[in-house]
Amino acid sequence: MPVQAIAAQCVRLELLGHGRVRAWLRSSARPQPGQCMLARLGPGPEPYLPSVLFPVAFEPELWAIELAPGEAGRDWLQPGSSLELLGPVGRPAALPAARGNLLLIANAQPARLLPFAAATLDAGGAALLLLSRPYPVESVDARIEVRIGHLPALVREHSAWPALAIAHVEPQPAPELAALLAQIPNAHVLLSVCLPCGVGACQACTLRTRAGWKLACTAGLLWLLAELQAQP
Amino acid sequence: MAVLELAPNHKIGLALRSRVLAASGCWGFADEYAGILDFAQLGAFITNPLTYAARQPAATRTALAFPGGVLLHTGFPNPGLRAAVKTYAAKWARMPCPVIVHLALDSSAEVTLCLALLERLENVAAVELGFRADEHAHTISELVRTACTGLLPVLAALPFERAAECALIAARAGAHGLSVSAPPRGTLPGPVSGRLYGHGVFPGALHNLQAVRAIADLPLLAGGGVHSAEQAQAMLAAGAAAVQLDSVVWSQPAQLPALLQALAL
Repeated sequence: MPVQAIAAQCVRLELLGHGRVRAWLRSSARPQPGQCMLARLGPGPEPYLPSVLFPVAFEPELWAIELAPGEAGRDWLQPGSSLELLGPVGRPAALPAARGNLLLIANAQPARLLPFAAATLDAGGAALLLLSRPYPVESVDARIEVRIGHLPALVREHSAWPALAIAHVEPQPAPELAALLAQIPNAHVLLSVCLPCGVGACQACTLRTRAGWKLACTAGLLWLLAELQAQP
Repeated sequence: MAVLELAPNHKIGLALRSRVLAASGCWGFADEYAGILDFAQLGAFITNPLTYAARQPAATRTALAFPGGVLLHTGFPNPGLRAAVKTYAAKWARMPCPVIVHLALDSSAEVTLCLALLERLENVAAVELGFRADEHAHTISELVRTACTGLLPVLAALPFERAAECALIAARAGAHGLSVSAPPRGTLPGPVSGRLYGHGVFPGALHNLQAVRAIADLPLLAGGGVHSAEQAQAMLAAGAAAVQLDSVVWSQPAQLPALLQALAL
């Protein structure tokens, strides 16, 4: 599906604790896990670049984003707010079969990883979410175990457990964490990148991979860690 | 029906149906924004910069917003003209508006090689030559002069910081039109340096246009931070023959169809 301009409406907000809010949106098209939408969350011209909206939950007609305190749009978005989305940006995630244990690793935006757990949980697998900072864990599916602490230590403790791991660490994993992730087979990263255009026009999201330079906005936001090369 | 002849001194000319163009550096190489708007509303599409040989992304790439816009540093990665022609020629041929290929070249020999590739392509209507801010005057003159020996109209894209000086050089070398739309360079705390885009750029761009209009008697394609119909009209009133839209396509893509409609002349 090509990137399109899509009108959306916020239909309800959920306060999650720790100042976070989950906004449920209705739109004619929605991103799949591994994709995002771009949108300006606010009435004025600032911030100049659009926000990157990752889906954190789905209902039959709706999908949700999560905003942390201080994020653009956190205090602007209300039920009834209209949004102009650009997307879906990126490719839907193509992950291995859902059986086995799933390890999720995040610092600032753990909810962006939650959609990846659905297939594993539905298939009877187990999911473990490792966090580096406090988070309203009551908003997380009760079937997902949550641990909070120093991420490298947590990852080291659980590195042999998963069949599949997905990390989303902003702005990017520190060297110690990156080295630990690299030792986990089937470790993936959900990229946190600035996407000025989202369609492959501005070339701002170039990514160095083993197959050459790629654009995150068109080639995808979820990558097998082994496919990525150190970014200079 | 054409509303504008952008290269009246060229034997083929460059007739456009609209005074609004897609600026180089923001809209991609071909149809990246085809899902957002109808390109038939554009007077022309100007490609992202293409070099003769493939060019890798900059080692340190940056997209950093600031009040009024965004600083972007990419290194203008591109596959090189030969590979680009293989990839995009069919798309360029199908586009409902003329295509102007932006070339960033280092020598007259490269100009000759690139023109040989482009002159046989359907719907490629002109070339726009881009120059670095520190480009030597002699080089600018030579590249423009060589390009003008080809079959396509030649537009010289003036570096923001030396627009008036380079306008005279390009005009004397035979350019058929001038693009006064290159983004300025800037530095933000970090420090990080790159091209500046956004509505904050508009006053400087309009100032540049006025300076070039005062000394050059060639059709001018103006641009830089245009985000509204009023700003585009101000460019036209200041002497631009046509207006280039740049980063508004990133910041307000959903409003583009309405903006183009408002500017339909």
